Amino acid sequence: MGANKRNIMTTVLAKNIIDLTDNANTAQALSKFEEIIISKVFENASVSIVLGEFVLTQGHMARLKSLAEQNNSKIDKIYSSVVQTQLAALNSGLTVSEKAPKDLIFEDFKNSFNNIELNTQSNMIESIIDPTIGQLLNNNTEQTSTNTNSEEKEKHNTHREEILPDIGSSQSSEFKTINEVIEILNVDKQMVQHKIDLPFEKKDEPTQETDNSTTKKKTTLYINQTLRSGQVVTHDGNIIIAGDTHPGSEVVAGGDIVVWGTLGGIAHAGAGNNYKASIRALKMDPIQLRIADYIARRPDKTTDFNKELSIKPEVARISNGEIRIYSLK
Amino acid sequence: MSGRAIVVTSGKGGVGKTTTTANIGTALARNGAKVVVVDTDIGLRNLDILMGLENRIVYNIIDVVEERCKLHQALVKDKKMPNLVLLPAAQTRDKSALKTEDMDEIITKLKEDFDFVIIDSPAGIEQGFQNAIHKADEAVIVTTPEMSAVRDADRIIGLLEAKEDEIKYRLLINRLRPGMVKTNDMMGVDDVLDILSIKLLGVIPEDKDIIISTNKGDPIVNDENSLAGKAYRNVARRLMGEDVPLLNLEEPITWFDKFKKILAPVVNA
Repeated sequence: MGANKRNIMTTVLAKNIIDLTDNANTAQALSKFEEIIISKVFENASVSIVLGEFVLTQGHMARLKSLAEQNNSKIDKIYSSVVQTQLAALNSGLTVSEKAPKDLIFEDFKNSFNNIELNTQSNMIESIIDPTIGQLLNNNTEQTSTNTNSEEKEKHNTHREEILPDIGSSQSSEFKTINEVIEILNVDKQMVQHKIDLPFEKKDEPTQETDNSTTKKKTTLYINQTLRSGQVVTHDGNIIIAGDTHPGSEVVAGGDIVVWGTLGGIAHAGAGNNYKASIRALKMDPIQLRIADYIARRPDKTTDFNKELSIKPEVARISNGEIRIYSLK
Repeated sequence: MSGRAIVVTSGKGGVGKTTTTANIGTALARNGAKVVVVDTDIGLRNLDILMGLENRIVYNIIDVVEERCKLHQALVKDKKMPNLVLLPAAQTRDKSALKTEDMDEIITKLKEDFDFVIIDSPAGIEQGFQNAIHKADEAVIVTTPEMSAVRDADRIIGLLEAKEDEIKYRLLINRLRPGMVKTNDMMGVDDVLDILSIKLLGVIPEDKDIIISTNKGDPIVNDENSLAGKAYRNVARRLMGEDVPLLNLEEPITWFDKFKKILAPVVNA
């Protein structure tokens, strides 16, 4: 598995420096800045902007300043090699430097400005998962063993058709059905590796406890259907989907998520603070990726109906304090 | 501060309620007002897509009602205007997830902080519609110049009149084609007003740019050159109390039209 970094956005740099030199023209650079500043990463902080050879007027500078102020940030310094831009910045009361800062670390902080509301996010995860715990606990005590006889096997098989379509629309009160599905799959698909573990029994303990090995211990839910808008699948272990997930659908797993198809909706892996969780898909086109309490969102894109049809397997995981996507080859 | 809660409703689906909500909301915000647009179409949300905010949604109105988050956490800021926010609906639930009392509480709270609370109502006259109109001070009834849409609008007006608290309502005629009205193939503004006999808020012409703006997630009012955008901006000004005359929606006659007219007898013969 060679991991090649994929560049989507390379605009936010270390030390609160925004580099806009990658953009094709001034207008694009301005709108990029707007997008970044509106995302509120730099709320209550001051930022420096690298403008390179872009020519900006005093009006542009005023717009940059007001944008920053509207979003509770401040422009600290402007880096520009063009005299006109430097003058405009000076006239707008900004500090100017001719050369780009030496300590500028050109790392791609892709999506780093999307990790908004981290603390509140973890609360949400708890509340999503909480109702399941009780249900799963109950079921667990009722469960006798995984060695089911052929009679039960048949019984499950007949139920299967009725139960499966329910997965998507299940709300927290109906989690039992999902659990039943797990059992069934355990019997006739051999997809589930172990008996159901207690979900999130180590919830309050430090996150180091939950690593890949514990993820592997958890059960895997195998779903052989396409998830459409409005459908949700929640499971405390791993989830494998043989099909696509459409925009508007949600997959929430305590462990990893694998989509054997296009991931188009929201995928939340490692719910319950498993920072080692990953999301794999044959084609990544998600609205949002969430891992533990991190969120990355899809960049705002313009209308593009001529989408690439090629399959490009990728994996998303947390690296250097943000969600990054790596290609799988 | 006590803002105005305005519900956008129609009865019939597909007449442009969501488009109208997005555009009126954006236009009011462009004029400097603090605006929140509320999507009450639980399970079939679209407003976020029209405003291009789909990828920013973390919490929604149901999360607020079920106390998974605070109201302000669910508000999604617009990309362009800091004084415009969206309260998204939940996609993974249905209309029964929201009760009238919950809606009352949310709208009352929003009215404290915003000048305008624009509520996008779902199609139909069931629970979702009742939720949407319950706490509204005013209503914008959207219709197209078609018999079916006008009939449904009439039904809505009846329901609004039967409501306990008084509600001020005005009509917005959407997707009008002046060319077809001229040739008597479509009901005109006066025909619709004759049937419904209510006050007119505005007329929006059919405009293919609306489709582009919907797909881009950028409301048409942000397009200075569009006639529909201008019409929506005028509607917003009227909502703010200004007296703005109706736009002249006549399609300009091009040299090509003139050419066709000259040729027509020849071709027909």
